[in-house]
This record gives sequence, structure tokens and C-alpha cells, in this order.
Amino acid sequence: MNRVRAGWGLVGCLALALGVLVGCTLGPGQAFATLVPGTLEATLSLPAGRLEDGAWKTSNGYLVRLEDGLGVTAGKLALLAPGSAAKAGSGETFDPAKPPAGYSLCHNGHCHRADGALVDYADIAAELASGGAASAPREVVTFAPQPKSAQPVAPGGQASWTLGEASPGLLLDRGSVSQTRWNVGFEARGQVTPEAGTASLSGGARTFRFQLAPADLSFIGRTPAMIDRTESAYYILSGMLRLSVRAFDGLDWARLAAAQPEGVLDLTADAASKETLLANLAQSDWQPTLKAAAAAP
Amino acid sequence: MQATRWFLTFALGGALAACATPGAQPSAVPSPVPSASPSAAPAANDSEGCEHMLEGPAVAVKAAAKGALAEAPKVGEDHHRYDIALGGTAGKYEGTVRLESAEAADHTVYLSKNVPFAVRDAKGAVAFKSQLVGASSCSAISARYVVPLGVGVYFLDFGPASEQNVSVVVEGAEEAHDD
Repeated sequence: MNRVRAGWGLVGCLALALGVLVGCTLGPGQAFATLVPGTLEATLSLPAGRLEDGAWKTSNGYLVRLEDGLGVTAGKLALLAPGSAAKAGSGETFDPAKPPAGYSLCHNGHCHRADGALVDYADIAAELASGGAASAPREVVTFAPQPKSAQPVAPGGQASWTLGEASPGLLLDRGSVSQTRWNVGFEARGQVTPEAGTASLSGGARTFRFQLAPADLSFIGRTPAMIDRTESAYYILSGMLRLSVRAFDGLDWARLAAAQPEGVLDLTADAASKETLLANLAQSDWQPTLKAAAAAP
Repeated sequence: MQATRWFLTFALGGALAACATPGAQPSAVPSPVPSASPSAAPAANDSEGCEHMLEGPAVAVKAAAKGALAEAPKVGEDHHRYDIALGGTAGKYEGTVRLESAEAADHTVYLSKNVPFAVRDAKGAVAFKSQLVGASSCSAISARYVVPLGVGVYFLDFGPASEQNVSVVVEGAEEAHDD
């Protein structure tokens, strides 16, 4: 009997030793840190110059009144790593005097992108380091934020979400992560009126609506971190989206109203209007954070 | 490269300021309403304005006749140079373009040529905060106007002038103000 007990004891010790050895030889594919879900927030702050009689003033002379704020639908959130083709980087070093393809007129800390956007030196350098814009990032962990239904964000207000279920899980492999992408949908219903003297609208005041699915628009922000044993064991992932005050700028309300003399103006059904809305909302400021922590919060 | 840009910034401001010293005629261009005293300091956007005036990217537009506001083509504060063709008869070229301001802030308007220039909204003329006109070290800029604009639609009037074309760069301010 004692021999049997001694034998089991030996097996136990061997198993323990084996476990320790395995633990000391974790390689790629093993968990090296734990992701801690934080919160997502969206805010809408309109400066005084954008408000007139409680309405949202546009750059082209219209006043927009939303019935229930700007509806924000939280789609998939993904923590990204540089794609496999981009791991080695493009080999190109950022030099403002010789900007990479697609950029020009680099000065005062920013370059002009071909589409007119101003991009910081740091963002271009990071893009080059990760292999350039053509490389496809790899999803490391994805979340399904809750609630799923659109949350109204009125001027001066905000909405928040929990990150929801993680796929495949919260354990992070060894390697680098670089960005966080959030797919966001938008919808609203309201009334638009022209300002006297500078804008016109058939009917004077018109009701409108639009709905953009989360698949239509994604925001990508930098969350660089090296996941290995020398760094922190926990990373808290959160994000803040400051909605663009230019959401309704440049919409050709007069053309829409003339083409549709009666009823609700559906901006989503009009290709040019949908494109303008997407371009405007894409200017929202997305600031994700991946904050390191030594212990579980 | 950076040193060149700093040089352009200060040289442009300095050279334009020299043309607006007290006692000197600040501009041959009449302001629509009495303007503020010309500022000797370079505008924050001078370097940017000079670069876009020199290098574009350029957009060609044909100005509407003065008063034909509904037909006025758009120019933007979008880091482009707008090459504007004026209408009218020889020696009296003029026209109007439309600017949609996205922020309540001081905007800086750079002109390639010293032609009569005014800004107005639906209520009337908008006073310049400062105006500096004359030759500058930025070879492509002949005049700089700083205009306080709110969010909304404005019209830029040019002429009458002997010049048939004028290029314009509009820069928004770095610091917005509330109107």
C-alpha cells in the first residue's frame, strides 16, 4: 500500500516538474498577457459657433434639428496586429523632405494626404513601419459591444458601451499589436431649414432621415504595444469617439428637396448624400487606448 | 527644408508688414468697411499659405458675376489653391465666389495679385481684422487678409480690376473663437 502511495507521489512530482518546465518554455502561440475590457464612449460637443436657436448650424447655411440626437450603433471592435506580409515593415523610413506616395507638402508636423486630409508625421511613420497602407492588419481579438441598438447622442451628451464578448478570448499571444478598429453605424431623423439669404429649400423646412450601417464606416486608431514577458501582464482596452461637428456640412439639401417635393428626405437613398455623410462622419476623432497594468484591475 | 519654411513664414510677414508701416498707405484696395489696424505680426498660416500658393494643388473656377450669389462657385479652406477666372470687360474684370466656413475663427485669405477684394455674408460686408498688401518674399503672394468668420456661407468679391485672373488660398485659424 505504501509502495502504491509512493508511486503516485512520484508521478505527482514528475507531473508538477513537467508543468513547471512547460511554463518556463512558453513560445509563440501561448498567452503572455490578458486583455481587460474597458468601455467605449461617444460624445458630441458643438462649439457656440455651431449652434443657433438650439439647432446645429452647417457650413453651407442650413439649420439641423435632430429629433433624438445622433444615433450611434456600436459594431465590431477589433484589436489589430500588423499583417503577416507587413511584419518586416516596408523598409522605408519617413522623411518629411521626401514624403511617401500619397503624401505631399510635409511641414509643421503634418503632411497633406492625396484626399486632402492632414496626417501627423508620427502616423505616417507608423504606417511605414507596419508595412505601409497596403498591408492588411490581422485581427487579434474582436469584441461585440453592448448594447447593440443605436444609442442617441444629443449635442452636449454622450453614450457608452461595454466591450461585450471577446473572440477568441482575452488571452493575448506573444507579439505586437498596433491598432484598434471600431465599426460604427449612424442614424438620425430631424428637420432642416435654410438660413435666410445664403441657402434655399423647396418647402422651407423639410424632415429628413438617414441610416448608415456599422459596415459602412470604421475608425482606426493607434494602440501600439509589445506583448511579451518583459512587459505588463494586463492591458485595458478602451476608446473614445468624438463625433464630428461637420456631420451635416456640404449636403445639397436644395437638390434633394427639389427632386423629392414631398415626404421625408432619405439621405441614405441618395448616393451623393450618403457619400457626403460618410466623409463627414469619418472626420470624427477616434482615440482608442491600450493601457498597461501590472495587476488585474 | 524646415529652415526654409521658417524663413518663408517670417520673411513673408516681415515683408508684408513693411508695406503697412504707420503713415504709409496700407493698401490700394478699398476695404468694404473701416478695417482694423494692419498687424505687423506674421499670420500663423503664412508658411502654409505660401506653400499652397506656390505648389497647389490647384483648382480652376470661373467666378460668377457680382450679385449672382446663387451661381457663385465654391472655394474652400481645404489646402488648395483656387485659380479664379474673373468676368467682365477689359480693365474692369470682377466676380464672386462662395466660401463655406466650417468653424468660427479668423480665416486668412491670400491673394496672388493685388486686386480689389471684399468679403460679405447675407447681412452685408465683413470687416477685415487685418490686411497687408504689397510685395513679399513669398513670390506668389501679393496680399493677405485676416477675416473673422462664423460658421456659414460667405462671398468673396474681386474687382473691378485690370487683372483677369487671381489665385486664392484660404486657411482656417489654428485657434477657433466663438461668435
